[in-house]
Amino acid sequence: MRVLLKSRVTVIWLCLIVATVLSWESVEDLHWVHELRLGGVVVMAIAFLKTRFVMLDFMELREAPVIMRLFAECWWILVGLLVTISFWTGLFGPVV
Amino acid sequence: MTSSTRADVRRLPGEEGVWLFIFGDMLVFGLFFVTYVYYRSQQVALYDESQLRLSQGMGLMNTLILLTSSWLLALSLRAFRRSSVVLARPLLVATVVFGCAFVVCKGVEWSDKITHGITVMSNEFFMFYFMFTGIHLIHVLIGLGVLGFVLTRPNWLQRSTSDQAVSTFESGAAFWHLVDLLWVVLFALIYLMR
Amino acid sequence: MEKGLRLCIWVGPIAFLIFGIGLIGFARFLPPPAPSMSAAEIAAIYTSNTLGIRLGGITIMLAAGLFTPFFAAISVFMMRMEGRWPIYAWTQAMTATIVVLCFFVGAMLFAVTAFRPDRPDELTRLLNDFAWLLFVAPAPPAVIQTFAIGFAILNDPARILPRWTAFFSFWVAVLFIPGALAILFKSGPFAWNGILAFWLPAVLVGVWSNVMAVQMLNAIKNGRWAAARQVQPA
Repeated sequence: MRVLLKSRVTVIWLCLIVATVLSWESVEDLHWVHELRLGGVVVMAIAFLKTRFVMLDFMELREAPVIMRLFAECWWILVGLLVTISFWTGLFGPVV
Repeated sequence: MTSSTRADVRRLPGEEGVWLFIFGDMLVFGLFFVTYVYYRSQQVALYDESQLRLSQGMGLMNTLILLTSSWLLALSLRAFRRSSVVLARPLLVATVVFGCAFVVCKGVEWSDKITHGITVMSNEFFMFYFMFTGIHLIHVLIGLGVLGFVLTRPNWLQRSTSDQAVSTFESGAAFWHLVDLLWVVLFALIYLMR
Repeated sequence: MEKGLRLCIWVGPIAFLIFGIGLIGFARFLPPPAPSMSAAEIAAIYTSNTLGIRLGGITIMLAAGLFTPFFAAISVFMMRMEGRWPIYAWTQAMTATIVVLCFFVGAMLFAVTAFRPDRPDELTRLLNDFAWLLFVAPAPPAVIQTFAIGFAILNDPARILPRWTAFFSFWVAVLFIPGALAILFKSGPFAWNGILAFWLPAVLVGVWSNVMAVQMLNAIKNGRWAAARQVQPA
């Protein structure tokens, strides 16, 4: 059991837990974060980064055929960027 | 049954076909996320104000529960592939228990909202809240169904078992991790992003 | 027998084409009229395109009729997959009937509405509501239908159809679910004209049925259909 626990997935899990709690704790406390409305950006960036590790280490896409791994990486980057940028810049802003 | 892959052998766990479902769902949920951001941009104040009425603590607990269930499942799969195969079953049971805990928490959270008069029809934010967490919950139930099915097969979680058993277990595991990662984004998007 | 089977499979994509001609070409209902429109606006649609909507209704009803041999072909495939007790094949056949009926009655309602466009506006809107919700909301039978197909494919020892088609079917099944709640919304992505309740399922149903048609025709062509006759599932 101990051998099992001392594996990469346990490390990843601990990091995911820490990242989750950090996101949940108010990121807004930092003044400069609040100023630039970066709170939401940081939260989403952390979230999508977490999905990367779930995909690569839990779903084992790290050892998957290249094209699958590529899909996974593209997904978190593109969807993450789209969501984060449109949130921050108000890209989809109110229809005039 | 071979042990863990070496670095130079690339393979996908589980059945090939299940990855069609998994990647397809990732695309669809990606569309869900972008749709949410689009509609939110039209009424930011409404969304920010409504978001405050969500229980961020419950959301956090849900996320921690699901992340832990994924970890336990990953351990179970590792145990299954190595010589500690006798641990695979209890670890899988633990996964399912945590999965059920997620469902129970979700139920508690929803009924709390509903008793306070907040429903899927209350406003656009709560429409997304209930619809997306609801569709996600259906995925959780499907995942629990598959993992539960693996648990009911008496000869599956053993040292020398059929390829079909391995394949179904790995497929179910991959699907469960999908459910986890989708929730990670949903939690951040609906509960936290403001 | 195979020739008839292949014909029935081909009828599926053709039926979809005819459906499209009816909905888009004649009735000009793409994009669908919004549920948030006023009675007067809806009535105006019916008076401005009366003949088109009547013909569209007739055409969609024709398409609905033509779906049946296609779904029958799917059930026949499933019967060979399942062997002696083809419960999934029966389930598919019955749920397909419900789904097809919804399209049929929905189209009939369009036609009936356009039959007398000088009705009071509220009545016109009522019939229009009924028709569109019939098109979009019958998710439960559609979900069960596609899940049944998926289960039959996964449990098929002869692997007549490739297993990935089962997972593709499951994926499409899940995407029907938002449509069921179109009854709750008059605007937004989950309304009957919304991206998640209408456009996504509409596109995916078209893709799915074409993919299934191709795979079934392939299975006949490469002999897996014929070979499965000898294999008896447990």
